[in-house]
Amino acid sequence: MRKFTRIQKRLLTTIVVLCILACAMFGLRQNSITNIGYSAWTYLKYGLIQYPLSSIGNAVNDFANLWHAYDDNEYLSKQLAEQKNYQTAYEDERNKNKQLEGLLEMKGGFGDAKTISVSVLERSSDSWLQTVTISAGKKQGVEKNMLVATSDGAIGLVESVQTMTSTVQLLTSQHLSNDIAIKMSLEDGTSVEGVLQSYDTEKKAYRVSLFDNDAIVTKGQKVATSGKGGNYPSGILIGEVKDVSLNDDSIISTVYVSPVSNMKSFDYCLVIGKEESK
Amino acid sequence: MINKERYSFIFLAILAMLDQLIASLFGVDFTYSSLSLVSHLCFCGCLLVVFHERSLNRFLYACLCGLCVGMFFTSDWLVKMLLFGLFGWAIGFFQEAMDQDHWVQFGIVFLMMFANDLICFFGAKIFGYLTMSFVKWFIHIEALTLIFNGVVIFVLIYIITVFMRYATIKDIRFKRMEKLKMQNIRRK
Repeated sequence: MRKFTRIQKRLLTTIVVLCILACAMFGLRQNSITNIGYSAWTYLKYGLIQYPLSSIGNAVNDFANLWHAYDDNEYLSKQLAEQKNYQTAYEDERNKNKQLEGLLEMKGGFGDAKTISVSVLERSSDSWLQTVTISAGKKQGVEKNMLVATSDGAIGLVESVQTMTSTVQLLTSQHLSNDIAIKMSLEDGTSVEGVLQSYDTEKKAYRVSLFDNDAIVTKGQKVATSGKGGNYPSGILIGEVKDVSLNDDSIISTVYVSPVSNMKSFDYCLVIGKEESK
Repeated sequence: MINKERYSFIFLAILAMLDQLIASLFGVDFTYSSLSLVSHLCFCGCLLVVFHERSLNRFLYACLCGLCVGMFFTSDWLVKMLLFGLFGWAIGFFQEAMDQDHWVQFGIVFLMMFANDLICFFGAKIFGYLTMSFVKWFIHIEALTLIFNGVVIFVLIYIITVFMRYATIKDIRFKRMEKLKMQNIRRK
């Protein structure tokens, strides 16, 4: 018979012992009374081997996730920066939409008058309160001295016309080339007429001369175009009375009218003319 | 003189722990929606460590290794013991070819690892533990397993070769020292 070497004997003994132990554990698992023994073995196995290994695994995972966290942070920062851009773009579009809605509403109220919707192409910072360039010219039917209005009211007169563009002289310009005939409806049902002559930079209001010295004009009264003279219809709002200056020795009294609210910033406007001017 | 058995045991214990670590890091996706891998570091390491031994020693070493892995790391000690023992014993038949070339070592260990996986798969299929098709199993689990363990076998061969050379050098130095000591004693 073949004899086992010392190492083989050791190996065999270890295997047999471990097999008996494993069988015992398997048997213990089947018996509910000896749950304590099985639990102790499971606890030892978990505590000594599986828990440390899973802890190392989790630590490695956490460390790997740090890079993901950094990437996520970078991504979110970019998103946040873009979000700010989106917000300003959204605000801008919302304002434009609001202006266009106002213009559309206004356009419907002019009946037979000729209206051309335009956008502002250029408004130089050097002449911010003087002129703007709009996106319509002769081809679209724009003529000199037509009135230009935003959804709030009149803002200027067409000064010169090119093929596809026109230059508008704003009512706030210091050198207004043409007077604008205006009309004010009074509380007693009558109306008083006058002329918008210039813009007072100190008072930041239009200087309007009324033809009726006795008319009782109060602050806040609306001033609109009269349609007499000029190439535009009546009833387009110019502004509100801001101040009144009466001279006893004059037949003409001066009224200061504040411009419409969105005069300083607008993207779209209407060019309004009389139907006959076609 | 280096105790190779002890170092082999520590080496295989480390590989078994690494297997568990890899399993916890890259767990098998049982939804089979992505590719998964199963690490066989300990199995491959065991084959490479025992193939020099005599047939019974190979078998016993491999059985003990499989038994320890099955008892302490997984819960299939009997299956592990039998499979480790079977392949540990079988690898000895290629001992001469494996001693000649590292590529042969790689090829045989790789094939045995694949055969081990096939036995596990078909065993589980026969006993009704698995219902998935062979193709699906091969694509979703085995393909990446083979690639990963293929690389790992090369690394293991390198580590074992370096260790064996180191052990041989240590043995030679130890024998020289013994010889010198003997000579000194004789002179006295």
